[in-house]
Amino acid sequence: MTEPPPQLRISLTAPESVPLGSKVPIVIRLENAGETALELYLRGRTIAYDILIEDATGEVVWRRLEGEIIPGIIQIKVLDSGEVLELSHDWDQRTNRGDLVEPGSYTVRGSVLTDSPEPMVSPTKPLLVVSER
Amino acid sequence: MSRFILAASAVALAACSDAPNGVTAPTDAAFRSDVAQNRLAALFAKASPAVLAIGGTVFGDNDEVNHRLVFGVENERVIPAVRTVLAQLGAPGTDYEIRVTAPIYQVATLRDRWRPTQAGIQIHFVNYLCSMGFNADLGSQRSFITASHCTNTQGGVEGTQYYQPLSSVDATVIATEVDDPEYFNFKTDPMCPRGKLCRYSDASRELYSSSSVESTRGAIAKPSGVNDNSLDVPDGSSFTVTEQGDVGKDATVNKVGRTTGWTQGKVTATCVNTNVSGSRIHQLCQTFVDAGVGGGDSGSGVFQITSGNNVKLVGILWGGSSDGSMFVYSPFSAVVKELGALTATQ
Repeated sequence: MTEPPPQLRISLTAPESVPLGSKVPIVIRLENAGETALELYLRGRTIAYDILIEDATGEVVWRRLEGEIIPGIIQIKVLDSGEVLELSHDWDQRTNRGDLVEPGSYTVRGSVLTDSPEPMVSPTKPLLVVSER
Repeated sequence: MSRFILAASAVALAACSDAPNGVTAPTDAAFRSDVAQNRLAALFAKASPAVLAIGGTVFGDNDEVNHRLVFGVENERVIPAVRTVLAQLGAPGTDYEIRVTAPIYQVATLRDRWRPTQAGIQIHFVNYLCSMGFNADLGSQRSFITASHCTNTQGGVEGTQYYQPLSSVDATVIATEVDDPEYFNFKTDPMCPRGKLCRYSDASRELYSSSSVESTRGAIAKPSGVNDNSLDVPDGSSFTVTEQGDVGKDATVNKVGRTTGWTQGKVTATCVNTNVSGSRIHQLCQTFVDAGVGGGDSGSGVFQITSGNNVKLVGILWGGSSDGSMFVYSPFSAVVKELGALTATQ
């Protein structure tokens, strides 16, 4: 698998606004929007996917795969026509250093590692962290 | 006269397809062209084998469009020898052209079918892809080594069956898993963190199925370039394993794997106790390298170039960073400690 096939749709869902300190459910979806089955070459025995949270300045405050050593195996995953693969993670609003983030505007982006040099990347979604008063 | 009739008939047949109700007489130019082409074809039949027997020649072509023979050579130094042969065959200079051209190699990629097998090529089991680490003998058992996680179950032997490059390309089972030590916990070795399962090498041994599956011990496929993601292996070129053992920090090491090809970089840390992402696995005393890696490179043999194409085999690659800029391997001494006294040299 070199480039993602055109009938593969990658999307990301996340709440638009969350209270400070609450869990943020983030889901990356890979959907086969075509009429024939697709073979995806995905990295890891457990599929390796990344989620990046960036603050308003563009600085990455949290990254799911930060510092991780990932096995270099490829799994061949078949997605039938119309089938969706979901990869989900609940972010605890802590940075990679372990600190709770500040209220404010952030962006969320997901990527799925394959055997290509570049991962499959989802669209970016805005995320507003609101302090509860 | 007979040649005229033959040529005229050929032209007439061609004309009939355009003018089904009549026959057009051949023109003088068409006749001359056909006679000339027949002569060139006869010359080519003699000249091609004679010219292409000369070292440094690349191709021979009878160019029917431009009515001449074309011979490709690797460099200008070959041209005089080609001219001599053609002169001996009575070919005037107007009958041929000699061009300097790039050599044409028989090229396979690391993802193609290889027989005999060698290190660095793609292997397939169940619905996973990895790379062949190295061919090795354990006593009389002709085997290859790859990563432990490149088996049906990481740790323990369940008889994983391997194909090369894919079962859909060649359904032959080339080898079967015969050794993949179980992972242990802190009770066995206090170096293992609580809650984790540990080993000192992410390596397993697979026994070749039969003598009909050929393998070359001590050969590592050598792609056409380093650190450029090339997977092409021109003319079956390879590195030769002449030594096996460990290396230390700052050594320059290499790997060849089916995803990122031949990558090279420095050892940045040794004996690093490493958690494996997405699992409870903890690999003890591993080596970190600043060099490229991708999904599918697991199992690649890691080696140090000692001289020319001679190399020292130093370990088995099993993982890397998410951005693919660094890889981690199990040192050769750890592989031998867990799998036995392997001989991997040619």
